Amino acid sequence: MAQDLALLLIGGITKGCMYALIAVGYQLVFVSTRVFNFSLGGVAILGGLILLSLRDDVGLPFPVALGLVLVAGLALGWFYFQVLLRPVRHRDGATQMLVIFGMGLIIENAYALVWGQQPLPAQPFLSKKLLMVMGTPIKVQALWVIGLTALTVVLLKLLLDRTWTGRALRANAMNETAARLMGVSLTSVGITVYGITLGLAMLAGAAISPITYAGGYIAVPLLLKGFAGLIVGGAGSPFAAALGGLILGLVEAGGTKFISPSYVDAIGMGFLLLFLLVRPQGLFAARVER
Amino acid sequence: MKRLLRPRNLGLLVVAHLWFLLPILYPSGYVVSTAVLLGIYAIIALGYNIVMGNTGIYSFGHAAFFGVGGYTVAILTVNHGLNPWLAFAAAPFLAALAGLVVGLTSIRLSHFHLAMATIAFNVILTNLNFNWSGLFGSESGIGPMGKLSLGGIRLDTDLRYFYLTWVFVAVVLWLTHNFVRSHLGRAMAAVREDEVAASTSGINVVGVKLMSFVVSAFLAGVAGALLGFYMPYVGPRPFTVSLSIMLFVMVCIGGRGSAWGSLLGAALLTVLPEFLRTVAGLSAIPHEMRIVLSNPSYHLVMYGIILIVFLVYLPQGLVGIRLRRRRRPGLVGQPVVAVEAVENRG
Repeated sequence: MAQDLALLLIGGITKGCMYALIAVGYQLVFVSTRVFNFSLGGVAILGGLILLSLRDDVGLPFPVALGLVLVAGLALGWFYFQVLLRPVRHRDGATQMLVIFGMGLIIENAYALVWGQQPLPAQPFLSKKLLMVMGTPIKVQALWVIGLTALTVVLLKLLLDRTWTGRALRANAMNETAARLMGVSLTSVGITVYGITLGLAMLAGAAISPITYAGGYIAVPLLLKGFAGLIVGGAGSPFAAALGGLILGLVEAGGTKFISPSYVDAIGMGFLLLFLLVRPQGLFAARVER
Repeated sequence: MKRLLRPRNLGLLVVAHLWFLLPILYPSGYVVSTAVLLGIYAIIALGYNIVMGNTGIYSFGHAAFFGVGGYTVAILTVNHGLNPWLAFAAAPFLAALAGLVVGLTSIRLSHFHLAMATIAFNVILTNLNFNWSGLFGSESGIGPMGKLSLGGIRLDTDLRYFYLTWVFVAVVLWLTHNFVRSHLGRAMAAVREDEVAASTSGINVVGVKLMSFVVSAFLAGVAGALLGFYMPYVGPRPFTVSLSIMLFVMVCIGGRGSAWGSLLGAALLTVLPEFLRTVAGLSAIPHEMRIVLSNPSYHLVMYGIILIVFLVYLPQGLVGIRLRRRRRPGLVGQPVVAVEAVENRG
C-alpha cells in the first residue's frame, strides 16, 4: 500500500513537472507581454522529435544533440517575434495570441507530416536504469525532468526579479509607453521572451519524450494542461505557475488511481474549470486581472 | 419588392436558385453529400458568428453544443424510441440549455480565460463521449439512426436531405442576417466594441453575452440534429475541439460579424479539404505527395496558415474586401475604417 502510494506520488510529480515546464513558459510570456503563448505544446513535442532525429538518425552524441535542440528553440523564438509577430506587434493582444495560436496549429500538425502520426519511442538521456528508493522503482529520466523543472523555475525567478533584463520585461507589461521612454526596446524584449520560452519548451519536450514517447497526439493536451497549471497556480511568479502544474499532475494521478484512467482528461479539465470559477487569479497570486 | 430587385439582391437570388438546382444539374452523390455537410457546417458557423463575430467572445468549445444536438437525437430515437421529429425539436433546446450552463459558468471571465473554459467543456464532453459507453455508446457511437420523413417521404437519400438541410440554412441565414440589426444584435455589437461604454448606455452586458451564447448554442443544436439524422451512427469524432477551431477559422476568414461571411468561410473550409482530396487522387501526383495531401494533419496546417494570413492582411475577412472598397465601415466596426470614412466625407 505504502509502495503503491509512493509510485502514485512519483508518477504524479513527474507528470506535474511536465505541466510545470509548460506553465512557466506561459508565465514568462504573460508576465512580460500580457500574451498567452498558445503554441507551447506543439513546440515542446517538436523538441522531443528533433532530439530523437539528431541522436538516432544523425548519430550525434547526446550533449551536442541537446545543445542543438536548445539552439533550434532559440532560433524559433527569433522567428516568432521577428517574422510572425512583427506585422501585428502594434495590434491588440488578442490578434497576437491568435497569430501564435495559428502557428501552434501549424506546428502541432506539421510534425506528423515529417515524423508520422504514431508516437516514437525515444531513448532516455543517459541511463535506462531504474533507481530503487526505499523499494520504489523510479526512472532516472523522471529525475531529469524534475531536476530540469527545479532549475528552470529558480533561474526564471532570478531572471525576473534580480536582473536588469527581468525588470525590463516586467516594465514592458506594466506600461509599454513608459518602458519605451526608459529605453526598453520592444524588439529586444520580444526576442528575449520568445527565445527563452521556446528554447525552454523544446528542452522540456526533449526531457519528457523518453517518458511519454516522442510525437503522437499529446501536443494539445500538454498545451491545455500547461495552461491549466498556470491558472491553478497563478501567473504571478514562476514558482506559482510551476506549483500549479505540479498540483494538477498530482490531481490527475490521483484521479487515474481512484476514479478511472479513461477519464483523466475530464478530471484535469474539470479541475481547471473549478479554478476558473472559484479562484481565477490562482492559488498563489495576490492580484492578477481576470 | 423594390429592394428585392436591386442588382445585388437579384444576383444573390440567381445564385441561390442555381444552388438549389445543383443536385439536379450535377447529380453526383459525392458533390451532393459534400453540399449537405457544408449546409450543416454553415448553420453552426452562422450561430458561432453570433458569439464570436457579433459579441466578440472567443469560445473554442462550440463543437460541444453541436455534439449535444447530435447525441440528443441519437439517444432519444435509438435508446428511447421517440418520434424522430420530436427528438429533432428537442435537440436545439437541450443544446441551448447546455449553452446556458456553459455561459453561466464562464461568461464573466476575460477573453482568453473564457476561451480556455470553453475548450475545457469541449474536452470533457469528448472524453465522456469516448468512454461513457452506457450513455454515449463509446467510440463506435449510437445507431443505427432512423431517418426523418416528411409528409410520407422518407428523407433517406442525399438529394432529399440536401433540400431539408438547405431550407434550414436559408432560414437561419435570413434570421441571423436580420438578427445583427435587431435591438439585441446592436447591443451585442456595442458590448463587443466597448463593454464599459455599453453598460453605461444601459445595456446588461452579462445578459447580452449570455443571450448570444444561448442563441448560438440553439443553432448548433439544430445543426447537430441535422447531422445526427444524416449519419448512420452518431459517434464522438465530429464533435471534438478540432471542429471548434475550424469554426473559429471559418468565421475569421469569412468576416467576423457578417452572416454572409460565415457562409463563405464555411464553404471555403468544407470545399478545400475535399478539393485537396480530389487533387490527391489525380494520377499525376507522386505517391509521397498524395500521402501528405490526404493526411488530415495537412488540412489543419493549411488552416493555420490561412488563419495567420487573414489575421495579418485581412482582419475583416472575405467580406471585408468588398466593404473596404466601398469605404463603408465594416460590420466588425474597425474604428480606423470608420475614421477613414469620416475623413473622406469631409
